Order: sequence, then C-alpha cells, then structure tokens
Amino acid sequence: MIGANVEAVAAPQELPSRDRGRVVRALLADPLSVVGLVLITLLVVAAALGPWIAPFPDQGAGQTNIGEALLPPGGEHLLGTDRLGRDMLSRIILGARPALLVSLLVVGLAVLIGAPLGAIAGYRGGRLDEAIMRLTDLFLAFPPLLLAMAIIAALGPGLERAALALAISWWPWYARITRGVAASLRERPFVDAARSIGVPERTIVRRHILPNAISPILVQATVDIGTVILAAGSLAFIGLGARPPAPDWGLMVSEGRTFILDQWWYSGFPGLAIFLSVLGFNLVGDTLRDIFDPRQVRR
Amino acid sequence: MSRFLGRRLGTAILVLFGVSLVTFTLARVIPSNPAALYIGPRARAEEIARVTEELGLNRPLPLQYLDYMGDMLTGDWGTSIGTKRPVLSEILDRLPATLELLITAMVIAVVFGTLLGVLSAQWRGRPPDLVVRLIAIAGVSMPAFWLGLLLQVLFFRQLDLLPLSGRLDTDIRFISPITDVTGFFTIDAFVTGNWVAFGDAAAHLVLPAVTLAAYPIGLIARMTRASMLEALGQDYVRSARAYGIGERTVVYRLALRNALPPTLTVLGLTLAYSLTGAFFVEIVFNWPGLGQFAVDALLNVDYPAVMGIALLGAAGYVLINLAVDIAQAWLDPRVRLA
Amino acid sequence: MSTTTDALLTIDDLRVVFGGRHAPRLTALDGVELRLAPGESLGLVGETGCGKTMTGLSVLRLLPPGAKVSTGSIRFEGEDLLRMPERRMRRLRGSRVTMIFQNPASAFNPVFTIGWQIDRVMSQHLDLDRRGRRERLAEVLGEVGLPDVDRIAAAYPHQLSGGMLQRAMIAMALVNRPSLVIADEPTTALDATIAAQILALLRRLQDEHGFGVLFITHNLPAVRQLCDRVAVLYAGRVIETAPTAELFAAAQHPYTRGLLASAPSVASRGSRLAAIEGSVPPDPGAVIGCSFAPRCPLAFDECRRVRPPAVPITPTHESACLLALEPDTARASA
Repeated sequence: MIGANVEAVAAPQELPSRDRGRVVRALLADPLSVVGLVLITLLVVAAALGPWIAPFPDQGAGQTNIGEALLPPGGEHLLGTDRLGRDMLSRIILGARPALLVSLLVVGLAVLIGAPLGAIAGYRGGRLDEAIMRLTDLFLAFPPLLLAMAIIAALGPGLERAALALAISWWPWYARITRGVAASLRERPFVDAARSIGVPERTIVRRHILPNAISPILVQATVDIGTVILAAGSLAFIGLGARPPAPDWGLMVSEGRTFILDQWWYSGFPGLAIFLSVLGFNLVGDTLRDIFDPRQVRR
Repeated sequence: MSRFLGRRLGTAILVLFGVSLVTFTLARVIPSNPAALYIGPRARAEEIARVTEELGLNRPLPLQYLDYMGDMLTGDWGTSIGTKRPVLSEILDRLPATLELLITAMVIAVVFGTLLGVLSAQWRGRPPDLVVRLIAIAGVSMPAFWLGLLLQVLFFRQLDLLPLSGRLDTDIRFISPITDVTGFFTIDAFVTGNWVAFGDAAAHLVLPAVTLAAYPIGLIARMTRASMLEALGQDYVRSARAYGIGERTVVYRLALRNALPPTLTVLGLTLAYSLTGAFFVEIVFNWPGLGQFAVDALLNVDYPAVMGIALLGAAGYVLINLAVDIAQAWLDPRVRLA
Repeated sequence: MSTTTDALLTIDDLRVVFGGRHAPRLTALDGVELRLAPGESLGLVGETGCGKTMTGLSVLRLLPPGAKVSTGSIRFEGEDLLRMPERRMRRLRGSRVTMIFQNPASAFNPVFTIGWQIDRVMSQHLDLDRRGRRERLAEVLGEVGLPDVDRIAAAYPHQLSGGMLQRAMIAMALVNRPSLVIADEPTTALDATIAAQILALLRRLQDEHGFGVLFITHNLPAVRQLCDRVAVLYAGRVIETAPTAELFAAAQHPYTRGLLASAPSVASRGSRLAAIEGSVPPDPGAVIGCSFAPRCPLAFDECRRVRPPAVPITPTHESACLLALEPDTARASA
C-alpha cells in the first residue's frame, strides 16, 4: 500500500510531455535557437552521411592529389584545396564525425563520472559530500584547459588521450549540478517515504535522484558539446590532438597557418566549421538555459 | 569585513595546498617513471638513477610531497628540459609579455562586454537585444586561433593597417630601444617618453588583444545582461522610477551598480579562460610570452615546465578569485560593514 | 459623474489589461472610478489581487511590463496624466505625486546610503544647492521622527530597522512637498506597534501639510485610523464608497459587509478573508454580471446578467449592488 503510494508520488521523474512541448515551442520561438538547431542539424548530417555526401570522399579521408594543390575556392573544389591537393569541402565534411564523436565521448564520460558522484554527495550529505565537493574545487581551481594540458603531458599526446584528459577535467561541473539537485530532493516526501520503507540507497539514487537531474545535465551538456569541440580543436591546433592525415578541423587550421596570407581558405574554412558547430550548440544551450533556469549564467 | 577576509584567505590557502597536491600527483605519482620524464626522451640509465636520487623518488610519497612543497615554496620549480634553465625564471621572464596582452584584452572585454550587456538588458526581447545576444554567443563560440588568423588576413594583408605578429618591429631595437621598467612595452615606452616605440608596441598589441578579448566580451556581456535584468526587476529600481529619477541614471548609475557584484564573479572565470586563451593567441601572433613556452613544453614533453605553468596558472586563478571575492564584499555595504 | 473642478485626483472608467499578443488577455482593472479632494485621505481597500496596487501604479504610469491602460482617464490637478508626455510625467513623479512602498527594506537601494537616495530625489526635482538640500533633508527627517540626521543619512538600508526605514521612506516621499502621496500598504511589513506609530505619523503630517493621501490597504482598522473616506475595490472595480464612519456603520454592499465581518479588531496581517467563501474571479473582464455574484450570499438571477451600476445611497455614499436600488426596482427589472 505504502509502496504503491511512493511510486505514485515519485512519478514526475522526467519532464511531463506537456513540458517537453513547451521546451520545443520555446526553442522554435527564439530566432537564435532556430539558427542553432539548423547548425546542429547540418553537423549531424555531415557526421552521419559524410562519406556519401562529400564530393571527394577519398581525398577527404587523406588521399593526396598534389597536382591540384592550394587551388582557390570555386569550380570543382567549392572551398579550394589544401597543400596536398585535397578537396577542402570533403575534408571538412569528413571532419564532422570525429569532432562530434570526440565531443560526445568527452561529455558522456564527464557525465558518467560526475553525475553519480554528485548524486551520492548530495543524497548522503555530511563528510562524503564535503570530500567530493572539495575534490571538485581542486579540479575547478585550474584555469579551463590548463589541467587537461597537464594531464596530456602526463599521459602523452594523441586524440584518445586528449579526450580522456578533457573528460577528467570536465566531470566536476556535472558533479556539482547533480549534487545541487540531489541535495534539494533529499528531504522531499517521496524520497523520505522511499527511504523509510527500506528502498536501498542505490535504487533511490537511480530512480529518484538521477532522473530529476536530467534536465539540468542536458542543458549543460548541450553547451558543453560545443565547448568541447572548441577545446579539442584548440588542442589539435597546437598539436596535442589528432595526427595527420586525419581530417581534423583544428589540425587543418594549424596546417593552413603557413599559407594564411595568400591561401586564407586553408585555415579559414575548417575554422569556420569549428565556429559554426560550437555556435550551434551555444545558441540552443542559451535558450534552454533561459527556459530552465533564467538566472543562472555560467561559463 | 576583517572576519570575512580572514576566512576567505584561509580558503584560498587551502585550495592552493590542494592544487599543489594535484600537480604533485600529476608530476610524481601518475607517470610510471617520473625521473625519465624529468630528464627527457634520451635519458640514460645512470642519469635516471641520479635524478631519482635527487628528486627523492624512491622515498615514501608523503615525504616526497613535503620535499616537493618545500621546493615549490623556495622557488625551485625544476629545470626546463627544453632550455636547460630553471623553470621559474623561464616563466618569470615571459610573464610580462603575457600579462600585457592579458590585461589589455581584459580592459577591452570589460568595457565592451559591460556596455553590450547593459544595452541588451535595456532592450530585452527587441532587436538590439537579439543582436547583442548573437554577438555574445558568437564571442564564446569563436576559436581564438582562427579569429586571430582572420584578423591577420584582414588588417595586415588586405588593409595593411596593423603589423602581422610579434611584440615590436625588429628595427625598433636599433632606432629607439625600450628601457625596461615594468616589462610591459607599452607602459615602459610611455613612461620613458619613447613615442616611436610606444606607437609600434601599441600597434602590435591591438590584434592579439582584440582576438583574446572576443571570448571574455561574450561572457561578460551575457553575465551583465542577466544581472542587469535581475537588478532592473528589483523593487528599488521601481521606486527610483516612481521618484522621477531619469532613466539613464536608473540604468547606468543605480542598476549597473547593483549588477556589478555578480558581473565581477564572471570576471575571475574570464581571466582564467583568457590565460589559456592567451596561449593560442600567442602562437598565432608569435607573441613571446608564456604561451609559446607552454606549447613548446607540451609538445617536447618538457615535464617540469608544464607542471610549473599548471601550478602558476592555478595559483593565479585562486588569487584572482580571492581578489574578486574581496572586491565583491567591498562593493556590498551589507558585507563591508558587517 | 460630475467632476468637481477642485478635485486633486479623478480616475474615470480606468481599465488595465494584461497580456495581449502572446499571452491570454486578462483584465486587472475593470472600470475604476475614484475621486480625491485636495488634502483628503482616501482608503482603497480590498483583497490581494483586486487591483489596489495596480490602481496606484497607474496613477504614476509605472505599470509592470505586460500591463497597459486600455481606456479611461486619470486627472491630477486638472491634467490628464495618461496623455502627459513622459518628460513632464517624470517631473511629476517624486515631486507632486509620491509613493510610499509596502516593504521599505526592498524599496531602498541596498548599496547607497539613505541620505544619498533622498538627496538624489531632491536634486532631481528641486533647484537647491548642496547646503539647501542638506538643510531640507534635516528638516524632513526631523518631521518624520528621525532627528539623528547625520547617522540616518550616512546609514545603509540594512543598518536601520523596518520602522526607521519606513520613516525614511516617508521623508523621501515628503521631501519635495507633494500634493498627493500614494501609500501602498505602508505598514504591512511592520509589526503592530510600529505600524500604529507610522499611521499616526502619516495622519499628523497630513494635517500639517495638507497633502492628499491614497491609502492602499487590506487592513480595515488602519483605514479607520487614517482615512476620511473609503473606496472598496473588488475584482478591478470600486463597488462601494463612503465616508469612513458611514462605511463602518452602514455598509451596503454584501462584499463590504463580509469584509467588515471578517476583519479582526486589531490590525490583521493576513490578506485572505476567511469569512467569505470562494475567491476573486481570475479574469474579472470575462464576468458578465456582478463579479461578486458567485460568492454573494444574497445574489439572485439578475445579478448574473447585469453589471450593477454605482447607485447613490446618500449624497456621499455609493454602492454598486442591485440591492442598493429600491428593492421593488430590482424586482421589477428581474
């Protein structure tokens, strides 16, 4: 009997569909987030269908074509070619998938580490809470990216290690968000009731705490996917990420740097791809944040 | 206020202590062979043994940490593998260049970011607000290294208005050398009345500073907009209007003053972002600061240098946040007079 | 409907609506009629949400975002405020018409001193030099019972008690010698003894200076203490007006009677009227008949069809209730 009641009270775990409708309407009502949605869609399409929609998929993947090196935009090569004669457009389209995947991986890892830690901290409170939160303080005491750089130095360079380093320096944000939600739910009747009838802590955290943290985590993750694309691009630019001949946007900007004054498109277009991808997520994230928590502005 | 100061200072010291634990872990605990890392890629066995002994790497970790702390506090931050010079002096040599860039960028960012944020809040929901929001979000989405390259193409190649890169034209050294006072070229040239050098240094500073300011402008504009909206919705703003106070005074004199403390919060974060942002901008503009050194260190696995920079960055960040908190408390009479 | 030429404030058929374009349209004020003679003190009473504060803000033309006046007129000293250019309106605010707010702790800006804030109001409107303003500040602070001028002027809002802050607020309201003071629940945030002191102070200052007061409140004992006349607001309409003594002795409107019956004899702090069942209709503009009919124990069919007009009962007492008409008239039209 009590158990049934607990389930009933605990029901609002996700956004009710009415609210989901409200979110979608709000996203579509704001011209900026519509632009953002369009940009994200473009990125996802390029990531999913890259090899099929790129005009020169082989060149995109790395096949060289020295005879047509450094052609300006126009004609057959809409965005020009790079120093090895590869079609820039194809390279950029094929770069979408790794960019998006790395970013999803980093944010996913950060959520996987951060959310459970935050949930436990907020739910248990006391010493454990204090310890976990002080740990996040330490991680957040480093300027963004600097900690990731130091970790890369310890692990050695490379795309996977860069991703791991980014995730390690990113999880505290999610721990904090989830902790806030968990701490506010701890004393709520349905959690109290669940606890009093002996529902194990793991179950309470999994069924009552984490689901309620989903909205704030998603809002943050939306912005972060963009931010991580930017961070990974930056690391690649200084040579700490992907290695040639990978079609990596940051790497391409870096390669084109030597030619920037005369062949501006070489660095210009891959950089634009990074910019527009990040912009897309930030535009949508900004509107989402307005909907969920208009007073919070962070990062 | 003094109690607040004491407590806040205590926290800052604790965090710094924690930061040193993190760098210690990264430097000595995680790597399988820290001694090899400290010597560099071509380490020979006897060298490794010597460094292991020197760094006390065979001693228990807590003791190692104490040694490490002692070294850090006495300024012994190790020797750079790349330059064979003490890390701390390498850093201090390059710090002024980075700081000059950083501070200039922050001044630009605070002025324009605040202005845009206030405008945006005043015109909430109308076209100017939309434009400012777009600028702000574009600012935080812009890869600094890319923006820098674009600005070089535009202002150097196309318009031929500003120098391409570097901190000073090479011939300035012969025509009108700068006397070293603060290490900030613009200030040194200015105070010594060296106008030729001042003009040149300032011209070199413009593009990198603007590039570096793009991100903070966005952050500050967003934060100012949010805190201005909050302030403008307060009872006391309504009462100011009810008493016939002019709209300009209400916005720029009253509400902005109330919006200042939350905006300051973001300033600490902004500075920290710009510190790493400066690394990339320095690379693009060949700016002889910490960024070049840091990236070289990272690429060449110059371990002591990397850890020194990480420690410095974290320490700087902690101190900035401390300063921000103190400034905030001082701005709020409820805290200041408590 | 005769507008006396010497009225200080005349509000005619004032309608304020919320929303429009994107949000549903809601009526906040549904044809408010008010008259205030110079030096008179008029109590505007009613439950939370009936439009009291909205009426006060309309006079200053400071409606919250989303609310706007749809029809009606507000005449102050013979001039139509709703047609006045913004510049002139601004010169009026804080000098000829001032407002005392409900919560002095949030009405003062926390980061400026009291002295600075009152001085700002003076320098905005008065042509006085620094010393002149300083003298005026001392004078007005003395009048409101804050003789320790230097300490008060240098204090930040958080350093003063609620009662002192409200005195300072009154000082700010009076510093430019207004002819109309709108007091919006000036004692709600204070405890009973302090509230009584503040009311006595207002009464005394009004006698001395002869400004008119629009006293917005849900607190009937306070009205009795301060006001010459009372207007009862329900769902965005004035449903009864009468001299204070007459209203308390012989209220006609069933709502007013319910209000009087539910009010405790000492100043009450709650705003809900437990004695009257039900609540104010969410959108009074959408109600066809009398907006009180759904809650009225005396309502009959006609009440739900006809909007009752304001009917004079005595030359100074009006009530908007069908029962106020001759009983047989009411029956005949039913």
